[in-house]
Amino acid sequence: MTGTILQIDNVSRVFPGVRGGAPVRALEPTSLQVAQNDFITILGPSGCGKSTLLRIVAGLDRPSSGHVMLNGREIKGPGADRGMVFQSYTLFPWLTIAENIAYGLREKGMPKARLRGFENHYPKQLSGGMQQRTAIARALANDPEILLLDEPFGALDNQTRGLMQELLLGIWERERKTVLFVTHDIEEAIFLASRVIVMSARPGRIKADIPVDLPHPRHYTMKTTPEFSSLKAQLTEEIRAEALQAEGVH
Amino acid sequence: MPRPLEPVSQGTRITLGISFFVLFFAAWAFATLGGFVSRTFLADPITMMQDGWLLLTRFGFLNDIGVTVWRVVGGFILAALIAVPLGIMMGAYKSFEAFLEPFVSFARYLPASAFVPLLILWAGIGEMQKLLVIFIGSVFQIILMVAVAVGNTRRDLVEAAYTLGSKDQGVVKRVLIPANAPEIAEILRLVLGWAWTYVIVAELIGSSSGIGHMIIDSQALLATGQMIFGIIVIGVIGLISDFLFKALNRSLFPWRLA
Repeated sequence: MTGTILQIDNVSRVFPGVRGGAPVRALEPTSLQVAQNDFITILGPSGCGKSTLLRIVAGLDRPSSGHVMLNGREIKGPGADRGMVFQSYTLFPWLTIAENIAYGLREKGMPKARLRGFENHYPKQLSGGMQQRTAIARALANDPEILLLDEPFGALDNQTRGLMQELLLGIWERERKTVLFVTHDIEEAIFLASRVIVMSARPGRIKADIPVDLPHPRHYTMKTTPEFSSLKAQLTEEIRAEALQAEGVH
Repeated sequence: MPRPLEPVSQGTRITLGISFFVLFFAAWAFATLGGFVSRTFLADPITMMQDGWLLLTRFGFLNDIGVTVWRVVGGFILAALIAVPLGIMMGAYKSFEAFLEPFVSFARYLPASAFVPLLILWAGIGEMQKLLVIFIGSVFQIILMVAVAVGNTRRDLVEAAYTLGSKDQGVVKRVLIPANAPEIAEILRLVLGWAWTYVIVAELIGSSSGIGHMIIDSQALLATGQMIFGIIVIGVIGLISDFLFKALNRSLFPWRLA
């Protein structure tokens, strides 16, 4: 492993109260270091602030305290150096697939003709899986320093989700991008990651940091191996405690 | 019995749509030709068509139609040219919206027809005055509706654009405008319909040409057939322009139907 690319220092987020209500603490002061070429999944129950953390790294949200450094530069807003894939389908519906992928390049002033011969369909004509694939391609086309994914396969059916996981992992194995991937799916978190960060229920903080030493390239059959199962059992325990707390059950 | 929200076939749709027109004219013909309504107050459909033919062939009504269409389109384009950019600015920039929205909301309720006497004082009874009536009637409506549409742009699309390297201006140019272009076209189609109301009002007072002028002239002669023909012509032109607008929108924004 090479040096740290992303440094999260005591980042917290407090949302102001709605209509005079008490402010909501979404994220406790959190620190995390991400090494170059790492694939980190952030696992946690709904509302644990994992998406908030990712949005702060993306620059779409601002931390209430602390700061985030990418390659030694403090993040002050969104930028093309951090590619983001959202849970919702965010392809621009008025652009074709090729134009969507070329969006970032055009912002950089590159000519439009670079992606000729590509698909000329509109996003509406594609399945959810194809749309998210294109969204990943669109984010990668900018050659970002880090790829941020916020439950990108959350809306897909189980089979498609499995295929997409393999696809993403294949990209990572080939290109060795640094990836930060938010999910609430335990299997997904283990299968993809070289490191799983488990977050606690709201207010979110990092509860466990578990390395995943399963060999690469990974194949979907790995999900049934004993090593995988024991990791899954361990993480299930961690998450279950948090889910119970979040639900207010004791 | 049809069930709620159940779609009907294209053929049924057309047949049903036409059959109401037939029913409407039949009821009208029955009331007038059957002698239930005095001919002084309501002409029968046949007289109306004869009057209309006379208007078109002998009295140069086509010229009046042309003048009215020109006024509507002219005033409307003028309003759209100013209102659409303003609306986009208001939708995109909240400070701009806070600055203009209260005034535009107020101005929207000023009835365009009430401006007619004032505009005659200011601009005389020439074409300028007619255009201004339509302009005043349309411009504030378009501004507000466009501002609302742009303000409601999906936030995740805007965020995606930022993470792809767009700057603030790029987001306006490459997300807010294309995302709302079909909606803006729909707004223009709607307001064009209202503009037709204003043009007739403008032509009823101090005008020497146009469909509205013809209707007022016919009133003096108690020529209800001509008056009704004029009104129907307006309806038909409205229908045609609506159809053209829809077809244009469909061809301009294929991604909507994709």
